[in-house]
Amino acid sequence: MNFELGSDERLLVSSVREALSRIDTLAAARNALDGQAGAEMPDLWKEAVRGGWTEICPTEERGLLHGVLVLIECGRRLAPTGLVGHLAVISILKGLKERAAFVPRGHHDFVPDAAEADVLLVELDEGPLLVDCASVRRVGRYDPSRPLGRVDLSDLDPAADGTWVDADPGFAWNVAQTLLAAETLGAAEAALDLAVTYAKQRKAFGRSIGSFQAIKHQLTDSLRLNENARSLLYFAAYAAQNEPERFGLAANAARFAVEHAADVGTRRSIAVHGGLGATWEHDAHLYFRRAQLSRLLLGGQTGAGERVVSHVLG
Amino acid sequence: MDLTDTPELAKYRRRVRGWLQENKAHAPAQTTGLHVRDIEPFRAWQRRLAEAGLVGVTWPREHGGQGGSMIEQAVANSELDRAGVPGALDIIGVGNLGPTVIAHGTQAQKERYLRPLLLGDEIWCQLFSEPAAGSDVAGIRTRAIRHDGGWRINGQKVWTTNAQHAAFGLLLARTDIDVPKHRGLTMFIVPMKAPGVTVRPLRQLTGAAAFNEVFFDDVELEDEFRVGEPGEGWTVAMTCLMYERLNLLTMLDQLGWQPEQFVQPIRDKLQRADLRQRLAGVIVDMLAVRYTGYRALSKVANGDLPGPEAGLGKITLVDAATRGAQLVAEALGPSALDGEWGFLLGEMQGLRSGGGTDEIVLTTVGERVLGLPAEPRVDKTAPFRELPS
Repeated sequence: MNFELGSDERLLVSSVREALSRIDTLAAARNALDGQAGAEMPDLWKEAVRGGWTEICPTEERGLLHGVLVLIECGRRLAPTGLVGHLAVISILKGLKERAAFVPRGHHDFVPDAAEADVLLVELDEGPLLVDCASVRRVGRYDPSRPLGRVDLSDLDPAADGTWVDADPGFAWNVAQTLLAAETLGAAEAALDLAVTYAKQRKAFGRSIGSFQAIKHQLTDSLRLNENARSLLYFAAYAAQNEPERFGLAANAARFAVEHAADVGTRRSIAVHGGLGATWEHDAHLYFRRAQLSRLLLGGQTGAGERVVSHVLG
Repeated sequence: MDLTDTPELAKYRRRVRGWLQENKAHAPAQTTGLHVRDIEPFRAWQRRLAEAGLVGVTWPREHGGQGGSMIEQAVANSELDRAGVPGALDIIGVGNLGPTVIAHGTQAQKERYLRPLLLGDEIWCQLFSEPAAGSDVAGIRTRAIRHDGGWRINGQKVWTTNAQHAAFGLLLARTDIDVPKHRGLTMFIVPMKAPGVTVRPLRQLTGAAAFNEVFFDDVELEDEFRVGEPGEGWTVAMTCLMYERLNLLTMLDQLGWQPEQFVQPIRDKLQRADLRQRLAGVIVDMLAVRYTGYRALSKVANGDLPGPEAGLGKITLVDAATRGAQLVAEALGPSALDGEWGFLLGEMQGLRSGGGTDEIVLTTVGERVLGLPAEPRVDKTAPFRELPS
């Protein structure tokens, strides 16, 4: 048994960090929020292709773990790569070369990565259908750092517009839940790092504010929530391969834990920064926005909770 | 990253599972949990487990152990859990106190004490906390004064699990009040039947008495009962607390708790969406304790010492079990509090402080893991006698 990262996995993490450090995604996120003309978020799909991240197959040996690790790092930098949607699709449609996104049944609005994808894997009552001409438009202004799309299927003619895929959309759904959670955990971890750094530097009453228990305990409790969530992401990555009957439980448990950790953690990060944390210029609210929106996507934290209970009830 | 067994570990697991299949009929009916009333069946079971090598797996062979790894001990614990049978009766002795004697004791002490401890013939207790020193363990006031080549002990300990059953205790005492608090401590082994030792059960809010107060009135100890050098008691105590953390990592398996335990009694009463959401939170936290424990255990297996973050798992566990018990009571109605759920709910409020309060864990982890600065302190450098009491 070894349930910690190995040296190859740590290497992957540092290579993703290195690649993402070259682009100031946080500044871009703030500009995009300002709605400045031409201030779109950079699309990091090319970076993802160059890094080989788009080729990570969640069904291969430790594939989902690698996906989780890449997306945690993307989340730390609020870097939009299109990987949540794409990796969910290739988890059941191996070898697909085009940029793809997954549209689960009943979730056609605020779909991660749908607007930029070249093809969509749409889950219909009859099964998953691969289409390349659905109408998608960008939605949401609250957190423009991660593109979301509204998919209009009203004119879709399955026979003419798409190809049926013989695969289990439930697996893609669990992959999407896991990767979305990983991306959100990255934001929560970055928000904690920001707050810890600030709590060490900022002096009040003659000492660093991080020495006061009122601050120290809040930050350490955020560490607890983040680490719990990370453990469950590892469990999901492990289960996808080794305990498929528990993958649903693990993926939804991870999702539930992450959304809670990110909600609490990003709010605490703002609070520890005092008034500064509540200003437009500070990065704290960028992570906060990410957390507040993430917990509503793809069925949200509440949906994940419902599915955790269903899985345990059997 | 992998949870699957290596071929050797799989073989070990099969052996443990096979042995349990053949022997589990000898196990006491109830699980140990945190509190045992009639200890004799558990004592006999611990002997059987120890002779088969299922407790004290990491102990050296010369002291009756298996010389095995933490991972093997974890496998043994998880198989005990799977078989629905309790593990060692003296979890604290086997897990924390014995290994501390192994690390710091003399050869004579190891030969005298370790084997009977492992077999359950002699139960041990940990005599650290005092009425005026809990989180601040180094602030203890029980005195050991040199006397005719030996030591004379006076003072009081509290929250002492198993003191009523114990043959020996590991006692942290103050031997020098003229140096700063951490430097004036010494560790001893105390025979609990020695003249001047009084054990008084301490009834907890559950109504049960798992803890005790222990009083020392002019207890005479020969120098051979000292563990480590005079003034080195803090170092010995830290070793003990390090093993306690290690123990915490497999706490769920040792307590025999499953995330599902809160589901079964209320599975027909989950029509309300708010109850389902709260149940999800409890299940998720219980799973998180297990997998965070596996991560920490893997670090230890890779050669790292267990860090203070192990204590965070206990915070999650106590919080989750509290919410779980409340949820069951809400679903079943007030009568649920009359039985096991009321007991568990109460027990968790004590466990919140057991082995380190939430607050001391958060402080320690905040400083050691996040690197946050310590609070200014006057008590680290001043001689102990000058500290306000």
